[in-house]
Amino acid sequence: MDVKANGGAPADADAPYLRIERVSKLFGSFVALKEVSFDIYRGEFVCFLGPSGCGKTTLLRAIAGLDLQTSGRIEQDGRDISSLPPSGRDFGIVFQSYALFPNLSVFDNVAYGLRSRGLSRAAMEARVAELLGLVGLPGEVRKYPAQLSGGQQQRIAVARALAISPGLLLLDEPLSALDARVRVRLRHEIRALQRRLGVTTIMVTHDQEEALTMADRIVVMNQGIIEQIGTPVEIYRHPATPFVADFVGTMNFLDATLVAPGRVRLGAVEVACGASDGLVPGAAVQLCFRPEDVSVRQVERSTPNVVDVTIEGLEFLGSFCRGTLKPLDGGPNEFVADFSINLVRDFDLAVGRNLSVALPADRLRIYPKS
Amino acid sequence: MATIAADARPATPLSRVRGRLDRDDWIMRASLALAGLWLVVTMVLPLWSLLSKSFEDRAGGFVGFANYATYFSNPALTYSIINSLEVSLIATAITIPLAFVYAYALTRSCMRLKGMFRALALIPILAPSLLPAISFIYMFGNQGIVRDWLFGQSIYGPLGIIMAEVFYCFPHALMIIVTALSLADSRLYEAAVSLGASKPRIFLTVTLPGARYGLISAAFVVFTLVITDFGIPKVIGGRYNVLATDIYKQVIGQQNFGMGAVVGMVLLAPAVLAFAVDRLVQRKQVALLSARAVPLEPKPNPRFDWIMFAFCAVVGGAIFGVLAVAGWASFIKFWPYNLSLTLDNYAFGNFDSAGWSSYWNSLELAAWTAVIGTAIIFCVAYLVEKSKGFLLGRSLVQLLAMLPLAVPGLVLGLCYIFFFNHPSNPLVFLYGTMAILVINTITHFYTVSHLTAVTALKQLDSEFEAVSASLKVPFYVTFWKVTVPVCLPAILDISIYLFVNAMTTVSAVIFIYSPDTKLASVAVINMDDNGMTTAATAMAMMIVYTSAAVRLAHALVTAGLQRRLQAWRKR
Repeated sequence: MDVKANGGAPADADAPYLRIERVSKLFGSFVALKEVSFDIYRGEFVCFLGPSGCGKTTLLRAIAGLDLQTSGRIEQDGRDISSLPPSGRDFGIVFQSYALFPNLSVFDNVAYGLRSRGLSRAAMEARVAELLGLVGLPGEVRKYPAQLSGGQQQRIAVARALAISPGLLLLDEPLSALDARVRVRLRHEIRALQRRLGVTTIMVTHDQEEALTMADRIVVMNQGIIEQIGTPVEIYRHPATPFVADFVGTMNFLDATLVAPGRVRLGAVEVACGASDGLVPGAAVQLCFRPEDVSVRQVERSTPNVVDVTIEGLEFLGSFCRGTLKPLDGGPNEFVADFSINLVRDFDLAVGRNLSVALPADRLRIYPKS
Repeated sequence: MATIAADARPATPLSRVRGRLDRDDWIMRASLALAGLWLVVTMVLPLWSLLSKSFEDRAGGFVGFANYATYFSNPALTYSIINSLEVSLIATAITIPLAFVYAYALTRSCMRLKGMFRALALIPILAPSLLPAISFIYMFGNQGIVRDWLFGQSIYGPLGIIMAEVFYCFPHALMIIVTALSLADSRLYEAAVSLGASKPRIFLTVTLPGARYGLISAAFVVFTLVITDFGIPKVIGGRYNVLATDIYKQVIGQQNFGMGAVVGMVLLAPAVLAFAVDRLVQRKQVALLSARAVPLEPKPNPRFDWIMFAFCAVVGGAIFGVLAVAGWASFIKFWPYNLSLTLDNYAFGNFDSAGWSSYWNSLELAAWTAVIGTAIIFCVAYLVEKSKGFLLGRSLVQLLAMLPLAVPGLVLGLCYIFFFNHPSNPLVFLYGTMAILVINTITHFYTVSHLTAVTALKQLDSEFEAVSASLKVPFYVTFWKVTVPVCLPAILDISIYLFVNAMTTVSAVIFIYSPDTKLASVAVINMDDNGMTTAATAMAMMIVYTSAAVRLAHALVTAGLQRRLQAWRKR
């Protein structure tokens, strides 16, 4: 059983490992998941990202069989597991609370799933030592969970879940109970461990930074539907919907009017922008760009998309400054832009000063105004 | 690559997913069904037989409301309703303020000897309710040593009943109010002080509202305890009839089961009402709890602390005095004429043919009740709390588990006669055995134990079962290796609660004991009935000694356990 998921050569290496097909979940009349479909491939690290109540944990629990979906199909490694109880599925899980057994030592916690497998004492000890080595906590076997720090408890929970060599590792907000510093360190540790073992992993999180740094692919969810699936770079650079644009990273949303394909009017200025598929000229749109994409250097009259602005505010954020800029003739739209400390010094930026900035056309996205 | 693949797939039929059940699910559901069956047989069916018996004549024929008509047209019987309400209301009105001030002293003052006062106040729980009645007779009865203190009033009647009931109910009210007052959030008090509120105003606007649910709850508990209590009016009531003694007279005295059932139904009404109100209030109380609350630490205030100390000394002293008089009297040769000491009163064989066997029977009952009752109650609470799905079954069992609280012991005992002594009942072989006493006592004290277990189980991480399922470990292994050890303090609490109550209870078992299974508390009643008051007192004191010893052992075991388990409890 231990070798089945990872060791044996898969029948078809390109076939999805986990297929989610039109999975819905209703709580009474509340729709928690609405016909969600996507595939996850062997060895992938996928994050379900979204605000609380978006259905990401519901989906994870459906995959685990802890709370069955109302309808829809889930297939793991070619096997339909839609209606199986958790004990009939192949996964390990780490909860936000870790759910470590408080009365059992670290050894007994990690060995919990090994007991029923008829391993010899020596084999079990070797396996536990191996797992504790993997998570970077060798030699803590005699301690009880309450004697460990939050980060250590978290790693024990990972070791316990991995002990039975599951084909799928499920992580339900595993880092959100930890201090910011420990959280950042554990991100890398978990990611490195996952790469080393090659275990297909799903992590639920509401922290976009966590998702961006850890995931191979991110599934962005909102109100029971999938807003976008893609690599972190795709999600960040090309958000498919205003929701994704707003939820992942910081984004300026400016009211504008489409004047021609790829051109919008922003107050008195007209700027070139990205694709405007499906929108007719005259439509009210939202023009979106990220604060770091506003350029200041080498901006001349001839540069495309120049906007003259007044610096309304300048917020010091350590490694950079975030300026609040008001277009001089751009109507009521204000937007923010990030300036490196260098730039602030070179251009002597200060509140009240006027400035010409450029909005690079290839970084401008438009969405229909809802 | 980054597209949602839904369109590419053939549409699957969107039928509802029905989960397949694994072995764990089947075991859990079967166990839940068994638990439900147990509660139906030990609780619902007996209640049903009481209801139907109240519509039957002596021969067992259906007579509709005839028994009720007879009952309510007989002023001698209906007068008991007024009497019962009267003593219950007065006893409640006295007990609650006393318990409130006492609880206030324990939680909000810095007086000395708090631990001792707390222990003193809990003494009455160790004794059968008859004990204070007997003790008051020694003090104020016809041969009472201080009978003049009553200015010619007779202790036999409402006065004696009320005094004894206040003693008996005091700890029950105290525990509820102490809990309510302990929930105080010091931030509220700091806010009130910073806003310039005076002390009386703070008391009225912060303290009382915070404790109001506790007070309401305590009032209903005391009211129910008094109106359903049988021992005290039996011993000290004289000719003052109350509902509880009426049932006994109708059933044991006149063998009029139909009429006894009617009185039982009448007695059920206030208990059910009190139960309903209490459930309502409890639900609101939960909302007051907040994890962020900062516990209130009382600050020293010499004048206030000494006033509180004096109050507790008087009340605690009175409680101890009542017990001490009974204890002393149990060693007296011939009250009040020959006050020399003797052990003769403990030679029960000279007073009652059952002799010491009643005491041993009580011990046996208490031990079985504690062991079997705790196992059943904890397992059922676990199934209700931790099994997956099967919501209907779980809610039904939960509802059934709450039911016993609404049924007075006396009524439950009556139900058991009707149900288990019915010739067509296949369980009739249980009648007259120790087993039926054990079953009856477990049922009688089911609800409080169940709630203790549920509270402990709720504190466990709700994902233990999920983790265990993901690791392919059967739920019963996790139950045994994790749930039970972590809940051990609560399990011990339940067993001690059942043990002590099985030792002291009279009301339910008085109807269903047999000559072979006569209990100590019943022997107290019988011997007192036959005028052998000193022996009755001695037997009652045996119950007190036993309860006290077991409580002490429990405290020691718990302390030892806490030390041993501290490794994983605290850092």
